[in-house]
Amino acid sequence: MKQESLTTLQEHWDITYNHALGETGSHFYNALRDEGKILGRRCPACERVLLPPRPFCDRDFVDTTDWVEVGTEGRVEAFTVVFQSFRGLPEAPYCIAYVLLDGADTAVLNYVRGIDWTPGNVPQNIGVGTRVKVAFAEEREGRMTDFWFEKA
Amino acid sequence: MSGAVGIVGVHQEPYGENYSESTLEEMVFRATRRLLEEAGVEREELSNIVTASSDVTDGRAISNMVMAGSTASYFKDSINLSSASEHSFLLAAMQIMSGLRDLTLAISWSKVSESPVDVVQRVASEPYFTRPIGINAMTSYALQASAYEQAYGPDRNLISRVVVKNRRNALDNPLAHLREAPTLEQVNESAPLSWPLTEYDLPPYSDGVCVLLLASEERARVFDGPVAWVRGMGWATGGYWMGERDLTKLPSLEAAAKKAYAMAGIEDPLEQFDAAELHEASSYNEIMQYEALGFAEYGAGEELISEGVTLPEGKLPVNRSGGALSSNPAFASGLVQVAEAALQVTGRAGERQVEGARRALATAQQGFATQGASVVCLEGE
Ligand SMILES: [Zn+2]
Repeated sequence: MKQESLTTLQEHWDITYNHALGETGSHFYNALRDEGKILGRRCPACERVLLPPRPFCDRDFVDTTDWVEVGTEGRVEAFTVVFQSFRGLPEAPYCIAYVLLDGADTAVLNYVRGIDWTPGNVPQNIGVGTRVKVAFAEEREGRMTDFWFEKA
Repeated sequence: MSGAVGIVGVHQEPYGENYSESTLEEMVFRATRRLLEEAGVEREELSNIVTASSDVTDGRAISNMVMAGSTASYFKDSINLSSASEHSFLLAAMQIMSGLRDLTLAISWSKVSESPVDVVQRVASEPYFTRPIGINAMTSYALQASAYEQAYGPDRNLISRVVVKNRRNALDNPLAHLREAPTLEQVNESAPLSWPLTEYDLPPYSDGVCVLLLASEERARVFDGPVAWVRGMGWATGGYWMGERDLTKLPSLEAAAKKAYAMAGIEDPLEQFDAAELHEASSYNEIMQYEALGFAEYGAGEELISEGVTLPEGKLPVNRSGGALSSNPAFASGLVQVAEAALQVTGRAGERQVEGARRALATAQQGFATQGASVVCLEGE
């Protein structure tokens, strides 16, 4: 009996989203781009400095009120070294880490660069508690990729 | 009545074209926060939250994860639905009826300005046979209107008067997106979009958030304000394939109404309701809803327009808010109709109040050409 061939229907979607950043996100990115500053938002109830900056506090359900410039050094809270490449992301290997910058109460995600990420070397090169510093791109465009972390 | 559920709070932000001053998260947070403030409720007092949203519209997969903070869900029981905005209300009401929960938020949002509506809608169809040809809200409701037109040959002037009525009603609704009323001539002469529908026959697309607070009978008594009691609810999902449906009728809405009416003890809806908020996907679709809801015989829906029955001063004012033809936060429409019906029976509808409204009906539709529908019957005190 002749076997009928099975068919797949390929489809490609190209969807453009224009995500409004609002006042808080816009101010954060403008300060990052124009002044090389990293700004957090303080919650008036729990007094935490939230980074990334949020217009409201999830826990207290109130608007945040003040901008706080945080430090450009901090400590690694969590990390992983990525050995698989993903579409639209850097060539592996690379390291992503949540870093608690000095003066902030929540950690922020970014790349850790300038370290040899050969698999066997990972534990010697980074750990929870490692001190890192912020490095800024010379040409900044108001994106998270305008800065990254390096060993302090 | 044990297991009774009341709506004790409603908050809608003004519907509009583009909430560019806020992120999606902020837009939803502000509406939710304002509802809690207006109701005098602390986040801690809530038993749970039910949200409903469209991930493709939001550009966030499983968007209730990102939205947890905005919806007061931090360390709360919170469930998200993607089937329909008013399903958040229905689930919340059932949870309270079950006795498991007693003070519940139902929240839905759409920030349609951030994504291409046509693409989002096309993704809603099955990819094998229909999607390559293309179906969206406009064309599916045009197919429905065309089928109705061919079957009954309604008077085009009466169809246009649905638009004029709803858009005039919106002048009294400060939250409405479109607040300019076209004349009958303007509607009759407006540009064709998808036969037989023209520009004015179809809703706009609006950014918006709708939040409702539901309470058990015991919890509802604690609130000072009037309560909109849920007397009946019904919903039904019809078949997906439009090619096997009778497009001249709205069978899922008819089935939903039958269930809701049975629960609420409604035998003569035209007599028993004082106001109705119908989620009209087109001008024709409002007329078709009159028929599915039992306000008129099949093919005779237009008589309610010619006789002025559904005008603000008529026997059963329909879409006193302006309806979806005036404000249409896409996915969140449906919950908006429930909210507006609740405002009517609690006497809190402001300029758009139907005087003395005690019983109100809300409808909602989902999918292409009314595949699914929901009906909610509310009663004031
Ligand atoms: Zn806080």
